[in-house]
Amino acid sequence: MLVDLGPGLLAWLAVLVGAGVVIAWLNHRVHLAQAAHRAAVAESSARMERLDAILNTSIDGIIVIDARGRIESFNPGAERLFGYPEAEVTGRNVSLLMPSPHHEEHDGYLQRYLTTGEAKIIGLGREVTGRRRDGSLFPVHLAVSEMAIGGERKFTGMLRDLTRRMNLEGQLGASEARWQAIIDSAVDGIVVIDAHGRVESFNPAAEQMFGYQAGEVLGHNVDMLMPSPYREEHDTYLSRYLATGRAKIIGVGREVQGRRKDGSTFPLHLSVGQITIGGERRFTGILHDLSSRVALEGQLREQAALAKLGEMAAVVAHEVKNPLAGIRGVMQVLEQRMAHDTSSTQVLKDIVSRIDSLDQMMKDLLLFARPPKPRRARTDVAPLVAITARLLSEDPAWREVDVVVDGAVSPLQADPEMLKIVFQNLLINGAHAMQGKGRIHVAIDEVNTMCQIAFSDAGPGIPDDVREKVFTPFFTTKSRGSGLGLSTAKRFVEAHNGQIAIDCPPNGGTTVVIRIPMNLS
Amino acid sequence: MPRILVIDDDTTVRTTVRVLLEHAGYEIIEAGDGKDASRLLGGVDLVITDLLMPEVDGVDLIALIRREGHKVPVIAMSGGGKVDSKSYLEVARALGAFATIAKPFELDHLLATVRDALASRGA
Repeated sequence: MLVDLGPGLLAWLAVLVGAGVVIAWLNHRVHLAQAAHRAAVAESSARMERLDAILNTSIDGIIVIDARGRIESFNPGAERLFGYPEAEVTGRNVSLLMPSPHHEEHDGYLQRYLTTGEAKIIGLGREVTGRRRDGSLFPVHLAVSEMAIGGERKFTGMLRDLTRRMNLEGQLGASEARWQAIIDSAVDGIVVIDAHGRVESFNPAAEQMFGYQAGEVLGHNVDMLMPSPYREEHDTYLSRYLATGRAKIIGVGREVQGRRKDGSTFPLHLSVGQITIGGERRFTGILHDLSSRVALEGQLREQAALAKLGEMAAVVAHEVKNPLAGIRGVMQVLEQRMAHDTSSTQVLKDIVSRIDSLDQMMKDLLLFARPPKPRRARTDVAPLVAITARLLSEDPAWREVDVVVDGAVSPLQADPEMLKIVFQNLLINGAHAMQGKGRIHVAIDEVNTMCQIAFSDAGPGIPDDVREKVFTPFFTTKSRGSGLGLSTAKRFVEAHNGQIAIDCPPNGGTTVVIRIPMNLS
Repeated sequence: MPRILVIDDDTTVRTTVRVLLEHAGYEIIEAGDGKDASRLLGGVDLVITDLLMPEVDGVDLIALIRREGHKVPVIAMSGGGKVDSKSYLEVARALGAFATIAKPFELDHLLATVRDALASRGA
């Protein structure tokens, strides 16, 4: 179809062909470049995928921010942590994930780092507080690293939720606090020692028991809490046990003696347990103070002994009284026969009076050892006291004793004979205290449905150490006397469901107060 | 030797009376209460009895002696701190006790009363 192939046409063609070659070449180049690009893209996207996978599946939150603090990347871990979807936070300042004051100050931190290079968190990692979308706060571990992408500085934060760990720690702390509270509030002493016998723990009950503050004991050898010879031997016990494994007390528990700070000793029950903490042996001693139990046992023993003694005394007194009466009778006969010999009758009178006091002592003993059961009758207390006082005043020894009775109560159901003995014993004690000269004041009153009778003398009073013992049978400070006056009075008052107490006011004298219920019930 | 029955639940009182009267030349028998005493009345010249005793007391005993027709004189004792002993002694006297003695008593007084009581038997 081509009729005229002229040079113009040819040139144009050549140009065309050349252009085509160039184009083809260019095309080829483009293709090559495209393929390379495609490969590169494919490679990079694989890497990206891998990264994405890591980012997306990471439990930890990963947040990337730029140098101005704007969020560029926010992985699903971070979404879970903070409750924000990525889309909502991308491009916003990361400070929105922080509570005050960091919320306001974060830009400043960033600025300072960028200008001074002084890092407070970058490359370090530490515990911070995060702020969720709902405003709630949570503990989080944050590690920040820095990178440069395309000359731009960026920061990657790796965040690990600490809520669970904190809870665990809290629980641990709480259980430790609970144990501490139990140990602190325990009634029994709890002492922990190490394998060398050094005290590691000393609870308040132990402090109370031994009179030491924990600080005075901790780190010291536990033998300071023991009297000799245990004190000297304890290290030996311990090393023998550690060497032989033969326990004398561990796992057994027994009664031992403790030594207080003041040096006094006391009985305690000790049980020892063994624990191993971190491969180190420790011994836990639980100590129970037995002082009060031992004291109570002593009291009971004393009471039982007294009851036996009293019974024996009663038998003896009974057996003695009869021959005594015989001797007295004989003396009276002799006295009558020697009526003309006044110096001899005086001797006999003296013998009789001594027999009489011996007889009185036997009577006291019998009253104490075999106290009668109260035979209750309507009893008017005030006149009864007055009658007893009058009987006393008939005794020449008490002539200068003045008894003043004050007050009155309505009659009560009581044994007047027993009360008379009580009053008599108290009046005689008062008279004795005043050396047979002075005034005894008896105040009668009704106090809380009790008939209260208070005997006050103007004597010197009773020293504290003596006052503790005055109700103890056979205790006396008098050169003559059975030591049974007050204990019998106490017995008789208690037989009436009453109480008796002794008080020595600071301004001198002694007051014995009796209280007897007005009504039998 | 006149025989005297002494009745008291308190042995020391019985002993005292026995010692005092034996030295004065009397024979003494003792009883601890009115019941025992009632079996010992035969051949007794004088009864000295306490009034307040458990079981059969002195007042009952005096009543019994009189009821059974014994002519023996009775001396009643009472006192020793016990309440109302005075009125008991009056009752005893009313029942025919020869004399009453309040405890504690003087030896002279006891001896004189015993002598008088024994002398009264013939009257």
